[in-house]
Amino acid sequence: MNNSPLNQSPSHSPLPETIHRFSFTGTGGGYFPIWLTNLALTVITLGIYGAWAKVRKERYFHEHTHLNGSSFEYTANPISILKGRLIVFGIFIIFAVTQTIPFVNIFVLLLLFIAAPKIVTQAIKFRARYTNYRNIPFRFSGTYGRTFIYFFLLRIPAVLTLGLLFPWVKHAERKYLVDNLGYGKTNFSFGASVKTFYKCYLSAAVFLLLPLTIFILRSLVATFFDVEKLPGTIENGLTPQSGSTILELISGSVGAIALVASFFVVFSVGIPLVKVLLARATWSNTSIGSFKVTYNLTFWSYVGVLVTNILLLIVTLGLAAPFCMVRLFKYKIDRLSISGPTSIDEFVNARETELRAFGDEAADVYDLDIDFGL
Amino acid sequence: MRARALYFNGETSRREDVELEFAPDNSITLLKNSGSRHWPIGTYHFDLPIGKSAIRIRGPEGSLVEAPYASELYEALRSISTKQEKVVSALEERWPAALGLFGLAVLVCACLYLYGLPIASRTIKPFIPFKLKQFVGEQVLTLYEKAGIGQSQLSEIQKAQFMKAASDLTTAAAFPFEIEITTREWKLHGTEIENAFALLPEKIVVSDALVNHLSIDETQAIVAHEIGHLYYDHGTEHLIRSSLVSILSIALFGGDPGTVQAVAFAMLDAKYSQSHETEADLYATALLKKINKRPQLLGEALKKITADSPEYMHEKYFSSHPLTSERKKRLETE
Repeated sequence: MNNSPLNQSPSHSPLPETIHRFSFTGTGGGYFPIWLTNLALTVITLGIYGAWAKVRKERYFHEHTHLNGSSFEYTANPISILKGRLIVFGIFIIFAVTQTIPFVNIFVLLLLFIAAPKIVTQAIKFRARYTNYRNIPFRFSGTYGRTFIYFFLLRIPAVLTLGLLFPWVKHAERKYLVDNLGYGKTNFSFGASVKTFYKCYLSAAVFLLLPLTIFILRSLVATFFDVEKLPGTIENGLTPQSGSTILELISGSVGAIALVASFFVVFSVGIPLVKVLLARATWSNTSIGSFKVTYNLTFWSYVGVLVTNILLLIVTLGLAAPFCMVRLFKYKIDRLSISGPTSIDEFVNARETELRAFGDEAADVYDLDIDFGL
Repeated sequence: MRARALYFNGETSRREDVELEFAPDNSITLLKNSGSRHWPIGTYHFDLPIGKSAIRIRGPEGSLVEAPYASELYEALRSISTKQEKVVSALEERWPAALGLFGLAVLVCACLYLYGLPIASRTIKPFIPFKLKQFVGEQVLTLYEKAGIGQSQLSEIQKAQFMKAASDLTTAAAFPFEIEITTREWKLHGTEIENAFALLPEKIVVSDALVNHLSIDETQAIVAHEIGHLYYDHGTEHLIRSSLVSILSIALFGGDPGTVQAVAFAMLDAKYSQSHETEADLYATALLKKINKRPQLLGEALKKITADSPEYMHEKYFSSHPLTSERKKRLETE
């Protein structure tokens, strides 16, 4: 697109690389009164202040994130967020009212399905466009059609293949998201392979498939053994009663408890593990022009932060929420860095006409909490 | 006053070290290596920093100045910021102020809970068309039918007895519209359910198991209680209230209420539901007296139905009905 040194591949550069680390200087104590004020004003104004609260929250987190001596900026207008929320609210009301009316509910559902990619695309554009660093905004050049394909249509083969294609779909989705992000004129580039994504899911498979394994085991025991009549054998060290007891336990209460526990394992270990592995695979294989991103997230330390946060929330009945949010955000940001042969000073802003060429037309009213997979 | 700052022209990410001078007339002068720039008040804009973050000032030509937090510069900008920003930043900077505001928010929630929702639902209630209520009632009955409510299996004699008892009540109640009272077989996972319920706006359904278990007088007392729900139009009130709570929930939490909110809403719903049950109990005692029946029949019927299920204290706060022991005690004094 342009011949700036920032758009050259990192591997071709002969210059020594400089590492620039991100850092977060926010504190739980600093954010607590902001969180409390946001919550209180949102309640008092019956939710209207929520849009302003969102901006203040985002501003706190952005403005305390530093890179190479400058901090990030969140410049969204609360009125735009309020408009976006009113649109979503209106859609919800229409959906709720028409839910019991035959045919009309199908029609509304169809309209929602058609509108969803637009809402998602605009939400990503909105978030990117109102995030600034050094007075240059980020941008997202995705389109309705491509969002429809990557975020919605590709889910169909993933379901039809019982999830076997899911890592491929997730890879395509992340590639679409990252490749269409930009900072000024400079494009992001996604370099992770599909194989890496399959490896992420395979590493977590032992945890994710635990409920299915236990379910199959229980069903097999219940189907193929008549647990009430089955004797234990002396050879395998079981008394005549104990053999049947073990099988009874597997198909009975112990099996049921194990099944519930396995879901806990999925949610507390399996899903965070996938999240960590995917985030690392995505961002550590991303480059911004000639800068390479590194994301040194490790699973056990991440789970450690998550688990202690949950305990803190339980003990304080939710009042520790701002401290937990800051802690998790700081943990993530402090592990992020970029390295490259050029100075951060060399990025160039895109002009309005160029932004239109990127497909980054005004994204003024949509705002959803879109996860960039960090 | 002067402060060191970084200047970004908005065209590249290049930073330039500058000195920022804030004059008593609130104008800003930037002293750069390449010359100076003067921004009179009204030509630049800024948002007060949050949580002692860097101070940012946007210039007239799309440029940005970023200065490390300094209390003197902050106070200078604060003095010319909008009233709204001054108030919000004052709250955010002081824990006691933020806690006080939070206390006020709790008070607002309590007022909404105790007065706002009942007043709103009673105000809106008369405007709900009868046909809409009928539609909702039919939809709910269809759901119940899918969940295992079938045709009544009572004998013709039982049915006749029941209808006579019900008719005595409806005549005494003298509603401006006809109340439709039916008996239905109600099974859940093969177990017969002993229950009765009122549906918007004129339907009452009594389960066969309830008729079989109770005497005809006791069954009549239960039906009188359900007529009480129709008399006060509790169903419509419940419908409006839950809609308002849903709307409020979406407005406050973006449609994703967490566990704490879910528990709070369950308690809120239980509180109103219990007060409706008490209201219906009192109506039933009055109606029973009107047809020369003992009002204590209702308490006796409730005791019979719940004989096999133990009472737990948490039900007092989370159940849709008050504790049977408390209801019986109250009904005995009527």
